[in-house]
Order: sequence, then C-alpha cells, then structure tokens
Amino acid sequence: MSIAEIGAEVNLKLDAVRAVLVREVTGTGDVCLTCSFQAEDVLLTKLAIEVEPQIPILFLDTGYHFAETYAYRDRIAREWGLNLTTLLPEKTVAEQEAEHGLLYQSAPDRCCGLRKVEPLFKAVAQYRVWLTGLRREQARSRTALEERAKFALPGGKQVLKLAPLAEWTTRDVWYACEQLQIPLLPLYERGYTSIGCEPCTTLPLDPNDPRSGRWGGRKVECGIHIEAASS
Amino acid sequence: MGTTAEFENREFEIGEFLTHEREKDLLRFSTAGSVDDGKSTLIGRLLYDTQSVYEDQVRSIEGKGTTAPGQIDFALLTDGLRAEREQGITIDVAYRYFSTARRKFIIADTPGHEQYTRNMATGASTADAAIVLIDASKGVQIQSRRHAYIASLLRVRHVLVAVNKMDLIGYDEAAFGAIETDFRTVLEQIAADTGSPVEAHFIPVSALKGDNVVHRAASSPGAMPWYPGPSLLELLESLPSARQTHNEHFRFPVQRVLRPDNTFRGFAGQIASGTIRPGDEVTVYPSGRTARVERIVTFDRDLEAAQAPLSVTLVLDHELDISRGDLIAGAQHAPTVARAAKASLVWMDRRPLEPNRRYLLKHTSHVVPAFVSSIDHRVDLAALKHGPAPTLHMNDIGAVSLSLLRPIAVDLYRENRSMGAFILIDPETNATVAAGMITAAFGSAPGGEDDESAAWGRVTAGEREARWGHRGGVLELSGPTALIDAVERSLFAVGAVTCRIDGEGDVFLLEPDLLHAVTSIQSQSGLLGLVVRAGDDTTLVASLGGFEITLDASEAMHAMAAVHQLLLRAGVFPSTEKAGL
Repeated sequence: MSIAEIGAEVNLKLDAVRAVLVREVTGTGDVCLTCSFQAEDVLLTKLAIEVEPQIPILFLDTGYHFAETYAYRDRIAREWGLNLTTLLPEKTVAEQEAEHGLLYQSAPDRCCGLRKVEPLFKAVAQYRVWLTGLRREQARSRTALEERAKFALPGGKQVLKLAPLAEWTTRDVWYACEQLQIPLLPLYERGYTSIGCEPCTTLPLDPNDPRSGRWGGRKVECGIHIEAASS
Repeated sequence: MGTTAEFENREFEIGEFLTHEREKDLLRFSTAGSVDDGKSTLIGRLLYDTQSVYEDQVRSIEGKGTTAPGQIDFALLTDGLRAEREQGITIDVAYRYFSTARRKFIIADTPGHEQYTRNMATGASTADAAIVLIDASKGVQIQSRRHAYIASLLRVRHVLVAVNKMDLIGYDEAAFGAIETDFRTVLEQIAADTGSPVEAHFIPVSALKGDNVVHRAASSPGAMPWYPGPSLLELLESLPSARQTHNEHFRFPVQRVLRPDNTFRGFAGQIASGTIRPGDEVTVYPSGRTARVERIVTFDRDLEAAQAPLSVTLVLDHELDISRGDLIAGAQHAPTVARAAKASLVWMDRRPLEPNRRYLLKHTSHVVPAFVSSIDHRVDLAALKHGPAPTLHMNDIGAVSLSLLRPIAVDLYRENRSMGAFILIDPETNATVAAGMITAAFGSAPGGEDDESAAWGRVTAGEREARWGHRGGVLELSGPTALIDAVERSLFAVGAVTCRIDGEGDVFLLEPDLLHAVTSIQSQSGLLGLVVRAGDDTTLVASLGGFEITLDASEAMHAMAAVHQLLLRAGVFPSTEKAGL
C-alpha cells in the first residue's frame, strides 16, 4: 500500500472519529476524556477539542511518571489550552513508600490499585460518558474491546465508555499524528512503545531473545480498563 | 400400599409428559437488533415470562442493572455471555432453548452487537423465523435493512418485526403505523432484489414492560388497546414450521466411514435433505459411481425409511471407495460437481475480503481450499442498489465468483438450504470470515478444465505477509557500522526477513536507478530491504516510508528499540501485544 493510499485511508478513519465525537460530545460537561499523553490519547484529545475546546481532560498523576511525560503534558496543555484536571492518589509517593515500601516491586497490582484505579474510577464516576484512546491491538486483553459499551464502576454506577480508536492500528495513529502535525512524547524516539510509570516501563526489545518482539510482561492491564465484577 | 399406586400413577404421568414433549414440534428462530435496541431485554423477557429461568438466576440479578428500583433488568439474564466474551472466550452463536405448552423453541443468539451478521448468517441459516428489532424511538435504521436483507437471502420465510420501546413513545399508534409502512416498502424492495419474499409480521412491543412479548398488552391498562393482534410469543407458537425437507432430494454427506471388522462397512452421517429407503439407487460424488442402499442402520435397529435430519449409517450393496466429505445422493436430480460457483456472501471478519487469497471453504462435512476470483457486486443497503466494489468489509453483503481448488458436489441454496450454504475460513486465524449461499455452480473452472494452473491464483500480498510475519518495506540506515549490525541482528532475531544492501563502495552507489529497482522488488516481495551506509559515530539516522528518526548512537538499546518502533509505526511490523502498564 502506498503512502498516499494509507493517507487516504487514515483520513477516512479520522472523519469517522470526528463524526462520533460530534454526536457524543454534548458540550454540557458530562463527557470526560482520560489522557495518558501517549500517542493515541493525544490524538483523540486533539480531535475532541476541535469539537469542544473545554472538554474535561483527566490525567492520572501517579507520581511515578517519566520526567519527559510531565514536561510534555505541560507543553501540550499550555499550547492547546486544555481544560486539564490532574488526578492524584490519596497518598503521595513518599507516604506510600514509607508505609508499604516499593509496592511496584512487591505488589504491582496493589500499587496500580492505589495510584491509578481508585482515583480514576472516583473521577470518572462524576461523568456520563468516558472517552478513551484504547485500541484493540494494544494488547491481547483488549481484543474484545467495543467502541461503545456500558462500563460498571465499583459501587454500581454505570458510565458509557467510548473507544473511537478501537479499530485503529499503530500505523494509523502515527500517520494521523504526522498529518495533523501533533508533536509526540519524545520517549517514543527512545524506543518505548507503551509508556506508563517509569519503574514499570521498560524497553520492549531484547535482541538476544527472539521472542522479545512479543513483549509479554508480568501483566498487561493496570486495572482501569477492567470492569467491576457484577457479583 | 397407596404410595406404590401413587408412584405408579406418577410414573405414568411422567411418561405421558415425555411423550407429549417429544411430539411438540420445534421452531428455530434468530434475533437481530442494532446497539441498544433492547435485544437482550427482549430475550430475557421472553425467557422470564415463559418461566424458562430458574429462581436462583432471577435472584442473582435482582436489584442490579440499570432499571428502576424494584424492576428486573432482563438484559442481565442474557448478558452472562457477554461476560464470557470479555474473558476472551469466543462464542459464535449461543443457542437457548425454551418451551411452552404448544411448542419447543431454539433461539440462536450472539453476544456482542457488532457481530450481528454472524448471528444472522450462522444462526438464521437453519431458522424458520427471524425476529428483527426496531427501536420505536429511532425508526428504521440501516441495520434493520441489513437484517431484513440477510433474512431474505437466507430464505427465512417469516420475519417478525418487533417494534420495541413503545413505552418510550407513549404507545403511539401512528408512529408504529409509520414504521410499519416504511419497513414494508423496504421489505418489498429487498424481495425484488433477492427474489425471495418474506412474510412480515409487525408487533408493537415493550420488552421492558413486557407488553405484547408473551402477554398481550391489553393486560397492562392503557397500553396499546389499538393493537388487536397476537403477542410475539403467540405468533411464534402459531407460525407454520417451514422445514419441509421431505420434498427435497436425498443428500447425505459422509461424516465417517465405519469399519469395525471386515464383515461390515457403513457410512455414517446426517441426512441433509430428502428420504432414503433400502433398495434405493444412489450415486456417490465426486466419483459418480452408483450403488443401491442395502440397510439403514441405527443404534437399536435397522430402519425401513429415514429422512432428514436423522443421523444414520448406510450400508451399500457393493464396495465403493468412499471417504469423509463425499456425498451420497439420490440417483435422480444429481447435484453439480462444482469447480467454480457464484454465491451471495455476507462478510463478517474485521479483515476485509481479499480477492485471489486462499481461504478454506467448508460445505457440509467437507473443507476445500478456494478463492474469490472476482467480486461481482456489493449491495448498497441505503439505496438497495448493486455497485462495484474492490473488497467486502465487515457486515457487507455482496455477490462473488468463487474458484474451488478441489471439486465438491453442491446444490443451489434456493433449492436446498443445507447443500447450498457454506462458510469461508481464514486459514491463518481459523476464524469464520464469511457465510455464503450458492446461486450458480459450474462443473469446470473458469478458463476451462485443462487450464488448471489458472485456478491456483497468484500469491497475494496478504499471503506473503502471513508467511513472513511482516509487510515489505525499505529501511535506510546510516550510522556506526557496529550499531547497524546490531539493529539488523535484532530485526533478524524477531523473525524479520531482511535483505541487506551495503551502500559503501557498491555498484548501487553508481546506479541509483538500479538501487531503486532492487528495493522496490524487495518491498513487493514482502521482504525488509535494508539500505545501509556508514555514517558518523554519534548518531543513527533511520528512515522508512516517509518517517525519519535521528537517534543517539551511544544509547544502543534505545536506538534499536526505536528502529523497531519505526517499523511498527510505518505499518511494516504488525502491531503485537505489549506489556504496557
């Protein structure tokens, strides 16, 4: 497929996402967008503010992010004039480490629970619709991802969770960012593919291990995209 | 001794009950609706109001869900499947059984709303009726047209149009009437296109309140006194069962050859259509040899006659070479031994149809390699017109020409549903990608019997990609040689098929056109061409497909990872799962 053909296909996909956003984003402030400042989230943010410049953008600050992530977040928020809310866990990194030690080493699930899942679910519960940049091919755990689904939060409240980029491939995201001239998190240029907290993000590649192209890790989901059990 | 008498009495009643149950006829139906049309709620309501749900199931969902307090969210009765799907278990079609005093029912249901064509096509192919849901508050949507079109293609005779959520529009008779008029026009257009008219029944319902689902709405005061007709269930109970296989010709796909010892040789399978008796002459396909049926063997006794859909073992009067996948058919009304066919196709995979790519065609108990040699048209559901199309995307309906790499005996779908239906399977993923109905069958491949090479087709880009694990591309690298070597090593390690051209002092340096020609051949052959030039020691410049990155050569691991990133971004590497936290 030539570059022009890919470009045309990506343009069609962009139009489709814009149509979803125009339909779903009401402008009454009941739609939020969670943004990790990775490529797909930043792309979706860009498209969403075209429709509603003041859409609430939620960034989850675990306290463990790369310095580059914070710098990039501040730059984009300033240049695009984002209505950005930073979500903080109950305890600071220092407090948590004093109490429990390095949870990201001893119990990463618990660490994610305290620093990501709890504050995020609490914030999302205040909205009717939750926009995310999730894509099916990001992980095996996301292959059944639907573009539009009800999502049950702990406590029983349901929000409508939208993933307009569900069908998108990595290639689509990059071509779109190139076309829209969206500057991306510089960590990608250093070879990272999926960027979260610094202690739990490693290079995806070990040239001596032929299976390292398949980047399996201890876990692939922090928990914010896993629905509360219904029983 | 009264207890014994009572016991015997009860025994008798149970026997009677079982006989009665066995004799009740069976109606199969499928359901189709768009997102949020209330399909789960409707099925849940149907099961609940016919007392087909156990108390503990009801208890487990009481007080949950999105309905008002005190009400049961019926969708949760059917949403268990959705939860399974989220765990990554693939369910194509789930069959639910329930029965009333008059009839037994099987519902073919599919979790996940975007898979609705799969539901229709695999579930409805054996269905007597299809329920098409329309949301009264939204009117006739493109999806409803698609559902009706597929039902008509599949020759499902009865389409029950449940206009749901009547409670939301205040049980407005005029709105219901408008939807009926609107959709009847659509159904007529569809029938004109497919040549297969459906009998449509329109019922205004509220699955949430239970109006006209099992009980007539008259039971709840004020709701739809203007609708005199039967409820959805009453309709389902009264529809004539459309399975009249007895007047079709005898077709018996062989599933297994049974040879317990050298005195017995039988062919086991399920009768797809028609009736067979000992003494009948049969022909075996694709060989074309004939024999007579000597015995029809079942588990407990031999039969004097057997008809579809019974599973039996046939013994013939003399030895023929028959194996699994062969077809035993009545000597009259021969099927076509097809090498090529035309078919209606419902595409249901995320990856679009690729003409000339090799798929597996599963027909009765037989699987043969096949490819789509051309797409004759795609159905534009909005305008109900045919148009040319380079491919079919998910949920598209079209007509295609197929080439079969081994001949199989088929009938046309309109003459014999089970012998004219097939599915296409992607050999790489084993996913069912399409459901098809044969509209014409040809004994020889296009281009004539002697031109067999034409039937094999050209190797496609998709097949190359499946073999190599990546697409073709040309990666230009300039930087320290040791680092470039490490980059190639790392690409090699993950299975990339690299093809390296060193620019330094090479003939290609003098002949840029030659370099271009070679790299475009590499790219088209699906290889990863590397054009390598020694550069300065501090940076590695990598470019591909319009993207260029400059990397710090002192951080070798980061630089290598960034090159892999580049290949992923440009679409050369397929995106794979990764450990993102």
